[in-house]
Amino acid sequence: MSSWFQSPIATALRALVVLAAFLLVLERLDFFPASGAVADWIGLAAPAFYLWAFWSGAEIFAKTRSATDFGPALVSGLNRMGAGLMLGAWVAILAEPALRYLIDNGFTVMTGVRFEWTLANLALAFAGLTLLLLARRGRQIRAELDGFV
Amino acid sequence: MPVRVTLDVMLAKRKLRARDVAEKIGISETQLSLLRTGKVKGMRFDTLSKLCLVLDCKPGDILDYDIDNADLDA
Repeated sequence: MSSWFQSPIATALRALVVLAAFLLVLERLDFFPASGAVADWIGLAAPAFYLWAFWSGAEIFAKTRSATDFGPALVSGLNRMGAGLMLGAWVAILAEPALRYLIDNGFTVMTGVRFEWTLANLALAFAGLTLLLLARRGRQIRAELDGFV
Repeated sequence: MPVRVTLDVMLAKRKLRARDVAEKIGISETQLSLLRTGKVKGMRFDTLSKLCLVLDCKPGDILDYDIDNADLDA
């Protein structure tokens, strides 16, 4: 049986990701149907990374369901999840506001940097960084344990 | 660390082949080879137990220690 259906949690998480992605796109289509403003679609960048992080989380559940150790699947899943959260947060903090500003003024004003320093974004960036560090530490511990026969 | 694995001696005494022992205790031949040559960081207790059972010996028959005061500083 494929790992897709082996873990109910993984399947539920993946279904949630697909549904959330669908709803996000629908939201953009419904609320900004005629404007076609690129700036509105930029708002999808950060959630896309967050959904990727969720998807990676689902893979952890799918691949490490029966495993009890800190295996490669768990390490790589944590790594991707951390990267997804960090990238999403940094897009939300830096890239999205800056791009939105540039597009709104038609790239006529190229000076200044815009930030969106919200506590939620910072918390997500920190959580992502923590997961990345955990994954790195896990890889080191795994290598250390592999030295034992 | 002057702990030495003297597995080769026991294998010779028991007239057993490394391949057969590795198969019996459930590790790969490569892992057993690394163990025999002391190229591992350590040995799990369950591996040690299995080795003792298969070779009909005590842990002290597989491991040896050369006294080195520098070990306290490690």
